[in-house]
Amino acid sequence: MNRPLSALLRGPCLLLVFCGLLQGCAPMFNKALTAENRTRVRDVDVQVLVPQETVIFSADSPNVSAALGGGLIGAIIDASVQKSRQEAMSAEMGIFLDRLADIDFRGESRAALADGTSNFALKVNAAEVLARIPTKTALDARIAKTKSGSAFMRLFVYYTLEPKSLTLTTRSYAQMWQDGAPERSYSGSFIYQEAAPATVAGAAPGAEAAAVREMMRRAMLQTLRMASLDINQPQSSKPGAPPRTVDTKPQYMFAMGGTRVALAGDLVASEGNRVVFRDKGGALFSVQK
Amino acid sequence: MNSHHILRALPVLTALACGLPLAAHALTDTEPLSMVFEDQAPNSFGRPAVQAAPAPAAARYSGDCRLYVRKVEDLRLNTETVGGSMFIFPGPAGVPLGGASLLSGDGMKWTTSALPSLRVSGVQTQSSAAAAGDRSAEVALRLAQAWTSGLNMHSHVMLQATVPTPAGDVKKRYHGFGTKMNFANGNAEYMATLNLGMAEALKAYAADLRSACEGKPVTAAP
Repeated sequence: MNRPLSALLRGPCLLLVFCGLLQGCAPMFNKALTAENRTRVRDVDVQVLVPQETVIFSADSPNVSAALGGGLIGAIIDASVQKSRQEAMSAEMGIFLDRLADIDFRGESRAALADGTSNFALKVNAAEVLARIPTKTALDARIAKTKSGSAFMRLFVYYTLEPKSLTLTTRSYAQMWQDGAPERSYSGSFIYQEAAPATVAGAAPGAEAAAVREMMRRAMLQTLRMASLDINQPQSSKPGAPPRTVDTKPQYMFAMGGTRVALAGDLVASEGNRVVFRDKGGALFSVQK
Repeated sequence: MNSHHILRALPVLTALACGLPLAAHALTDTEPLSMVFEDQAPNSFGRPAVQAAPAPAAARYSGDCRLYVRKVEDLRLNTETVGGSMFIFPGPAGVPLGGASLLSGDGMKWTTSALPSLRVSGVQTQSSAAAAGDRSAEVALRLAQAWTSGLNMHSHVMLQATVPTPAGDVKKRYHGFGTKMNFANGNAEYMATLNLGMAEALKAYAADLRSACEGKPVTAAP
């Protein structure tokens, strides 16, 4: 069945504009918990959402669209090249993913959750890990329940694993609702990264899998720790407050897109071989020194 | 204006910017996917690829390779969902701001319906062990997920299956990946992408089955 051109172009157009709109919005997605709201939180129910089944991998886009100054034609070229790259990448990833086939990120998260919530900045009433993202209706109903009960925190987690260096990166977004209000009282962004020791990458599959499981547990623990730090040491969110000063010297190394980049930010905590810093948008990063 | 307002306004903004109606068949997170296997992989424009009538397997593959599948299972750790779409803005600080799950239908039915496509690779599935010359196997669905990246959608399907050999059954896992352009972000497109992954996993399985039929060694999983 032939589809009209408008129908063919609708999806790419929607996604293109959506991504473009989001690029400059990072800072406004984070919201500090005010002292007043914090005192009103008796306890909190934590819901961790992990919607992916195993490692998700995506080949880089050539960014023809950006080079052309945006536009649908460039975006379609990008998509076509990315598709070819993804298909080429799949064979290698299949072998890698086969070695990690029995690893369950949700299971490791559940195992870490008890520890992570016992030292949380807020008293945790209950915690769970889910695969399914609740529908808008279910979310609204859950938020409404906070009027006469515990506050509700949702932690949305996405993870990637780089095959060569066995670098695990988790990206989490926390949102909290309380007192039945539809507006969030708190939200924060947390990025955790850890590379397995060089001796483990490419070692026997069992050793690799064990190392990855350990990293996943630490990722969940550290993510909850970052959320605690963010709640305990909020960046100013008062209207009219002066812009926050950030150490602009890039000094924290972060693996991304097959390379390592230096990021700038303010040191929030340092412990062992790990530092937590806050970037200019307010996101907290936990990276190895 | 906060992020909620922006997220609420996005569909309107995108529709205005594009001058096109909103997607009529967008992903619905309250209805499970059809889990219907379709052998014809759609091409990148979302239409079934125009293919010549497949040549009979016997013409392309030497020898007789029949198989009776005695057991099909759904052994996924999570049978409720098959991935979903997540909105993550680009950059080092990108986090999943939201998304929607793809609800899974019957995984066993999906796998069962896909097995006859082994014939494309020269393996004829039979309805009884006797008809297959006592060559039988077990197949399980271990993983199925789809996700989006840029303007594309991708899938990963993992089957765990046995290959009958003179020395006994060899158990292996077979991975298949699918990629297609995301036009309307609809359930049917996600299903088509998952079917691409399933077809690729079955193709890898068929290669081992044919090796066994021809008396060649089948390498066990590491």
